[in-house]
Amino acid sequence: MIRVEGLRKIYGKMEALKGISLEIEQGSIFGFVGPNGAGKTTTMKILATLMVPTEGKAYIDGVDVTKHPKKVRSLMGYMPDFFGVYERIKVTEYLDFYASCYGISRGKRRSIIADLLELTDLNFKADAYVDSLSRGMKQRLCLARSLVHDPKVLLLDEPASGLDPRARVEMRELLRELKNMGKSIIISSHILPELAELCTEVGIIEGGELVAVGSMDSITAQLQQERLIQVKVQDNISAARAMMEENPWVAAVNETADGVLQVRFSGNPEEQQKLLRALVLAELPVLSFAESSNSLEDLFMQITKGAAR
Amino acid sequence: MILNPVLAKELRDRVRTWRSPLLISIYLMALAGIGGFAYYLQTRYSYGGTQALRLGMTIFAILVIVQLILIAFLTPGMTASIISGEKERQTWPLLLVTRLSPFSIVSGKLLSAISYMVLLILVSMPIYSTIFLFGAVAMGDLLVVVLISLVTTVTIASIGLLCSALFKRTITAIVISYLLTFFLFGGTLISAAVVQSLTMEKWARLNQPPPTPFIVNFNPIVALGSVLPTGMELIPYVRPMNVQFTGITSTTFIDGKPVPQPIPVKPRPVWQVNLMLDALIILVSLGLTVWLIRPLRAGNKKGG
Repeated sequence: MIRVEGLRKIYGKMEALKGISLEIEQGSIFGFVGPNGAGKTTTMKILATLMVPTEGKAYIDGVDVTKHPKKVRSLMGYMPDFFGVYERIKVTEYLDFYASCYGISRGKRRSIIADLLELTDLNFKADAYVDSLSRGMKQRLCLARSLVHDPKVLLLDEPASGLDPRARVEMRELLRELKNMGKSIIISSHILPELAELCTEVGIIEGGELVAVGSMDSITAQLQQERLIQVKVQDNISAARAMMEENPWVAAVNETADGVLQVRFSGNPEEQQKLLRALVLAELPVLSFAESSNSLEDLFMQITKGAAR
Repeated sequence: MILNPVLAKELRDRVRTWRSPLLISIYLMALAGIGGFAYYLQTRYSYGGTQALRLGMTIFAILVIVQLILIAFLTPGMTASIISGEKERQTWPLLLVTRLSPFSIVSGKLLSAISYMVLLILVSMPIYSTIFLFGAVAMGDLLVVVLISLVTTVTIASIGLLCSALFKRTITAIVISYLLTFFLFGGTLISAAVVQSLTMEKWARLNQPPPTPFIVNFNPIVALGSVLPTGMELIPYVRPMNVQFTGITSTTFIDGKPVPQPIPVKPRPVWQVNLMLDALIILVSLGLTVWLIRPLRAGNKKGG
């Protein structure tokens, strides 16, 4: 449904996308994960016909986004990461306006709007002014707006950002509903766990490159081949660090600001025991030696070099 | 009737607030007040005879000039925020991803601003109609005056719209479009005066009056003055439409000898030249605006 081939985007001297390629099947939810500034929004904007790539091609339902933007706009609905609403316009008028911008006749608009308000649970706000809605309601309204022309593909850039936990759950339910309706969805997020339950496939982007692509399970397995162990020593941190870096199962050791060593460890539990024993035998004052409780997210941060921190 | 969706929305938005009727009221009060004051000044020491004949002409001239100046004050403020405001409000990408073409968006926005100005011109018609009580103003003159006012409105609106597409910040767009409008109304006259004073010596040597610099043709008030019967008294550079002689000659034979004769040419009235120049400004401004707002224009700004 969506195909991207060697997509590059250069702004002045900065290369925002370094040749991204990916393919997304119909009816799947693709999670596009990466820290801020990794190139998610740039990719989304190219797919949404709002930006031309410096190099490469992108297709939605086989249609080239740069050659036939008008056709692509009928096929996809786009929700940007930041968006505003007009003042002095009511919820139904807002949806009616965008529906008319997509060339939908007045007769059809009424029933489409009623359906969308029901889908997004905004029926009770039909006559409210858009700028009086809460953030969560505005997000849902913006999602309804992106659905007015019944697109096959949805491009949602950080749809849950800035939402409270309840609104996040509602948004997740809504996306699940849309998946059941057969829509192909790309969602971007800088938080991996946010997408963990929802996505059929995930792509991790960092510094304009796709670091990993695959099903949620395979990405999780790939990430969890390495565990993140947090080691705290009372002093002599550099000696402990040097010793652990020599261990063949240690991929990398990073020191946090509060003096905790984060060790990317790929060995089995026996090797993990041996590492601890070696530290103790070397008379290094180990205060704690524990696997990170939030391993998935922490490893994602490690893979993406922690650029989001 | 299939209405441009942007136009339909903008028209509804405009009439939804109290600002619209308030602006119309202030506009009409200003126009009526100035017209009434002009009438008072003209009739304060009694009048009669030829003075009575000129009374209607003078009040009419003052009213149309004031109206044009009011248009110049209102239009940039209404149009210069159209696109930059959408960008600041972050509603712009949502509009660009619809099936609307950049031209539909621009024309919808422009028509909504213009239609409001047309409304202002139309509601002022009852004030103008009082002029007919004095006579001496032909219906044809009134129609040409309305035409100049409308075309000037579209010109200023197009300039405002271009500024709106050109500058990211609304405040910059508004300031620049007011400066350009001021140049059209005042700057052209100042430039003409400068050109004339610089070339005065040359024309004095040739013992000829200096010609009117072409730049005054851009000035809407001079254009208006060329239609008004009393325009020459109120506005500089409104030249009488005398016969002029160009360098083109024909040959006549006098006593069998060929004698070159200059061909008399009647110059085109300023308002006609002005309307043609306005048409050019409108076309260039709108063309550039449409080009500037194309979503797939190369060199888009950075995303995340």
